[in-house]
Amino acid sequence: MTELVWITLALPLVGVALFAIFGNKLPSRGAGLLASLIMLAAFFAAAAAFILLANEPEGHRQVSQTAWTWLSAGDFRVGFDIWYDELTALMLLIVTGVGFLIHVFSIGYMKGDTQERRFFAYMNMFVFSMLVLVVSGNLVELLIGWGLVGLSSYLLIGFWHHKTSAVKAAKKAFIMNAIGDVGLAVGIFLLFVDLGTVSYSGVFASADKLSETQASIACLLLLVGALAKSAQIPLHTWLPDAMEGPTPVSALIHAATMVTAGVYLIARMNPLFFYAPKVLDLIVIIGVIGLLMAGAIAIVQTDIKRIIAFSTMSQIAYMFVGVGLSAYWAGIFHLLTHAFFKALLFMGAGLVIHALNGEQDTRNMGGLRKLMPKTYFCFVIGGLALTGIFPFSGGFSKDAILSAGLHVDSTIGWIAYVGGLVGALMTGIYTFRLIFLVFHRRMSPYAEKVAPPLIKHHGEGPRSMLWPVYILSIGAAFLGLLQIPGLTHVMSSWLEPISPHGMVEATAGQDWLTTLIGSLVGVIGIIIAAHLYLHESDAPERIRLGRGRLIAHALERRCYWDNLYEWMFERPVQWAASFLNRDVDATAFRWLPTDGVGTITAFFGRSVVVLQNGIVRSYALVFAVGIAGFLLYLLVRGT
Amino acid sequence: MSVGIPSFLIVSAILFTIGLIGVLLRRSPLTILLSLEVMLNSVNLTLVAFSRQVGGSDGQVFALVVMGIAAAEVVVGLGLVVAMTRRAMVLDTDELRTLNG
Repeated sequence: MTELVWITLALPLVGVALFAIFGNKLPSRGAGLLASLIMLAAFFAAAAAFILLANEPEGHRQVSQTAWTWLSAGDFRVGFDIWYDELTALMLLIVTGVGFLIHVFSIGYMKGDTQERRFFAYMNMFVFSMLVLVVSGNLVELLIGWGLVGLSSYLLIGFWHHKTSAVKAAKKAFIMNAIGDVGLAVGIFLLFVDLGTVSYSGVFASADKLSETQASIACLLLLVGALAKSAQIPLHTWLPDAMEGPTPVSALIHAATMVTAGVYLIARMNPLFFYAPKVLDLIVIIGVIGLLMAGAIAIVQTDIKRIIAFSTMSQIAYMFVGVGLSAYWAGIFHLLTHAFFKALLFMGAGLVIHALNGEQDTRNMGGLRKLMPKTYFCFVIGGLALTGIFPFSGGFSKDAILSAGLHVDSTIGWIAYVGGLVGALMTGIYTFRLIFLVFHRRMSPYAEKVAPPLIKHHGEGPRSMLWPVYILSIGAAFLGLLQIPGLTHVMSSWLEPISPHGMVEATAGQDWLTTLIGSLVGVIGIIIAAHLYLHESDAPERIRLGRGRLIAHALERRCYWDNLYEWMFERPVQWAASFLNRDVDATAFRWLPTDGVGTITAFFGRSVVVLQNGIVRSYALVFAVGIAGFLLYLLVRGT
Repeated sequence: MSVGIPSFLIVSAILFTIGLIGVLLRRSPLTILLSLEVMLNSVNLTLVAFSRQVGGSDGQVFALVVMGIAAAEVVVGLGLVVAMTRRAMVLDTDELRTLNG
């Protein structure tokens, strides 16, 4: 079993190595095929390992192995470990499976780009980094994976480096993630100081020795890392900008895998978070605020990918609520279904963008339903799953999170429940606003000009782009059946062993009630969206300029977070710099003669230049005399 | 039967001093390199001698490493000498002082 995990881990690395070594010798078209085949092989290895693990008796589904030791000092030891249990197995399947489909999609999407090989090399590198992150058996290795996914994300967001906006977005993502990395690293240091170990097994075994304060501080620091990586308040501002990257990147990194790493981290470290209940409550509150804010912002966005990006942020906030309520399985379940339906939506958006020759503004779309029926169908499935309409996958997973709030029955639980339902209403509105804007209504002049000839010529897209979308649609539609309340409980029982202190799981009655209310709220959202956006009307614009103008302004400016950071960090530095330049430098040194500072430096320089006579023997003499003098001193001083 | 450690140290110190004097007084790069070798090997002698005394093999390994590095250093040094000869430069370290201040 462990061999298969190692193979899964090694395959993408082999891919990167092949691209790095052979580079230009590989045919451009073959690059995508090669990368996809590697991903397929990795998926098969992961699936085989998963089956082997599932065949183990329950309670024995955890293996770990060390390839080599990096550093050891006394009892402390850090190595390159794998830790393969139920959670890792599931994450490996998601990363390699969805990763494979997105690689295939990329073959069609990136066709004609001059730098396909670089793209696929980065993609394989990302998958490798993500695998390191999820299979690691200790926190140091996790941090390495954590940093590597950040790097891959940076490289892929800035893939089209001739676009200034893409480069800026890449830098922003990298810096925000660096803040999170620091938090995570300091958290790991703290755990090492408190517990003397950084391996999962060591931390889990001795977590009960921590006082609540110690555990809370450590968990808070880990949470900083999780917030940055998963684009949650207050470190979320990079995610919408990250949409500057190619669409498959958005699907793979900024929807399905990397941004959910924060959820994975909290679920993985749950034995530690158990001792920090206040931090768990904080996670729920951050999640609720985040899902409401991101959902509301998504309603007013006009860029097709930004709408989906804010939706991603909102859905990850749901996952945070889930893990914060100690319903770890529900958070991971939503992670799984979200990987499918959000990758599906991104790839659907990719098809639309492809058919419109790179256009991303929804105002230049409309009426594409008749031209792109297959895309439309899949997109609606993804939309229904996202909205959480019964019986699509998102419904089951989101309702599992919400009913956990109902089950907990505390203030926090009720905040999560009500907030989550309001969020579900918003989800319905923004999702179907997007669908109506893109596929219904009258076709915009731009789309009318560009789309028909392209589609007549190419169809909705090459087969390599359509098939992944079909497969994801099946997943988005039916994955929820893994966990039908009262009937099946694949997810909750599979993930149950990862939490030694038990997980929150609602009763079937609470689940069904939530499903009913959730679907109802979702449908109401769809009706509101239909009322406002299904046909051209001036109602949305009236609201925007009328009674809702303050809210609309705030939402269009993304609730001023970017402005806040600009005023907090960018402006003070600029002020300080211009103050030093204009006032300090120009006035304080005015009394010196021209080049005053320079003259002083030059004087000192000239006075020591005589030592530099260029004769090597004299240097050697000084050297020898110096050492002899030092030894003499030691001799005289004794000891 | 065995020679005491002081004898080794004395020989080593004498060799080291000879080498040092060579480096300081001679002006031909070739001779300087030779003197450097003498210095390095005097240190090797100390290493091996102490290693014998302690009984471990660490010192001997060190000596081998020193030899390896000395070989590399000589390669660079001789390469420079050859390059200088090719350019018909004077082989005198006191004349080669373009790097003065």
